Amino acid sequence: MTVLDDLPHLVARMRAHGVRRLSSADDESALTLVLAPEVVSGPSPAAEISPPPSVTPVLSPEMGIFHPAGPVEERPVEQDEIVGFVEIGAVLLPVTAPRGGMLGHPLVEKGEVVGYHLSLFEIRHG
Amino acid sequence: MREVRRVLIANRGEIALRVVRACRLLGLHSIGIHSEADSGLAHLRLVDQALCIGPAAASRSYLDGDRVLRAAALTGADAIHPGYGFLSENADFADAVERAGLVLVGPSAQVMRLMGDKISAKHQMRLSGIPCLPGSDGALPEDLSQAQHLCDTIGYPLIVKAAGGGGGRGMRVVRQADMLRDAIETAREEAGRAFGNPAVYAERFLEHPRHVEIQVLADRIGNAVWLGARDCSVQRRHQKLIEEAPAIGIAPETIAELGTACARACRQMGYVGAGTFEFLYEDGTFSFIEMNTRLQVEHPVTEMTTGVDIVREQLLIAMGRPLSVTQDHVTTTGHAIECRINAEDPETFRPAPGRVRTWRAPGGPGVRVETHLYDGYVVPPHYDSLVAKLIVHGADRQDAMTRMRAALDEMQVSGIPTTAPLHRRLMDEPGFCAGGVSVHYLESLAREKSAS
Repeated sequence: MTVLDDLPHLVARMRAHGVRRLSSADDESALTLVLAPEVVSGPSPAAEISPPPSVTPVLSPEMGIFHPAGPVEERPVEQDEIVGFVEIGAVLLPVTAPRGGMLGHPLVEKGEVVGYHLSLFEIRHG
Repeated sequence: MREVRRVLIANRGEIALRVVRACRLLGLHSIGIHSEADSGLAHLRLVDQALCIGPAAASRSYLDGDRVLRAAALTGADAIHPGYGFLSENADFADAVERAGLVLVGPSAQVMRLMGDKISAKHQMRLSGIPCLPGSDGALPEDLSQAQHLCDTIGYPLIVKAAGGGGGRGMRVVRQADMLRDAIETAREEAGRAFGNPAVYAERFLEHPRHVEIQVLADRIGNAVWLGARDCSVQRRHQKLIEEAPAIGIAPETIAELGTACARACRQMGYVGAGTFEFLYEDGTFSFIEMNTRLQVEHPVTEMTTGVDIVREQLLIAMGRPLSVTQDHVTTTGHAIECRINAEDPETFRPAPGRVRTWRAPGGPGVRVETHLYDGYVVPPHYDSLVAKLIVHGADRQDAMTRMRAALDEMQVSGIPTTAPLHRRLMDEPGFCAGGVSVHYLESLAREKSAS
């Protein structure tokens, strides 16, 4: 019996309890399970009619003080482009665009305290 | 000392909500921190400021002292209330709070270290005249032959315990001499892994003790009071399930003598804040187990019987104020019982996180509920399974049990299993109804059930 034999049971329990990510490790091995959102079977009428505009949030990599980079206006950005910084003491952590698209206005003010994974911008694409 | 106006609550769940309420009573600005998995916590709607400090894993959020201190700096906090669990008894964190120029709502790092190490704690207790079990005066010697000789003089059965731990880890009961060596080696190995300190000590093992504890409060100007005793003997795997106050069947004069010694010990060691001295009680004798240098889950039963708001007192002490009560004014009235409601299978105790479909709290005279539950709340799988505390207060123990039965019948929670059905059964169980059960009561009940 290996952990692989338990996978269907583990996945079922993760689904039942709303757990999306599970990590387990010992001296010899490590296992991380990340569940994709459950797919609802059958056609999605809304998707067939008109796909909604896709929006990707740009999250703060850490808690700290937010500083936007570049012009504070709607503008096109490339994936991995630095769009801001989060100040942690003497360190400035870059905030990068997770994908290319149209970067919106910052959702928080310059100099504002932001939490871990707070949404700082939105990128429209597609 | 820094003036305390803004309090950061470094905890989650029901206790975070309890602390926010106390902050609001005192007009203090409250700051709630939370992990990414906890953005829906009830207390975050009551705090003046909320901040997500890290991912769901406690090691990168509530247990990460650097992050907590960074959050305190970012939000301009003056004081940190650690609640219970997480960083509440971490002396290194207490040091770091002091170095950051902040006030920890709790005792000093030095006192935490003194009482956190079971060996030095026992030594300190003996100095203050607190009764202790016969045992090794310090850590057992590395040499197993010397350890064997020492343990033979203590006598069997004895228990080998981790010096730096608790909660049942690094603990082995030894019933006869030839079992000792294995027990010491496994306890050392477990203690090293769990607490980073492999030192173990030995003391006499009591077969059927009750768990009785004394709540204390001490301020920064040398006042200390004790607030009665609690009986927390209904436990499973060293985790308390039901707590009550007062401890029945023990003469009030005996409790008073012990309580007075505890308050004296606080003054002698320079203790500041709320704390609990834990004892085993068997055959009319108390034996010190450990001191919890923090607020405890079960503090409400003491609040219900004494009328003292312990969390408010904690904050006032942190603000440098004297205690609001003197020992002469502390009286206990009636009987209080607390049932811990955990999101667990009531038979197997396996944690059962998930979405709460409906939550209906009980009420009425003498009923108090401390919980962060609400309809639609998702109990995350990352933390302790405690989701509610149901507390009742009655004229006497019978009255309190009647109120608890009614409250448990009235309480409704759907979507997740909880330990409530177990509590309801226990309220009718002859052993519990008679009172004065030992710490092995629940285990023996489970054994009887599985045998039948």
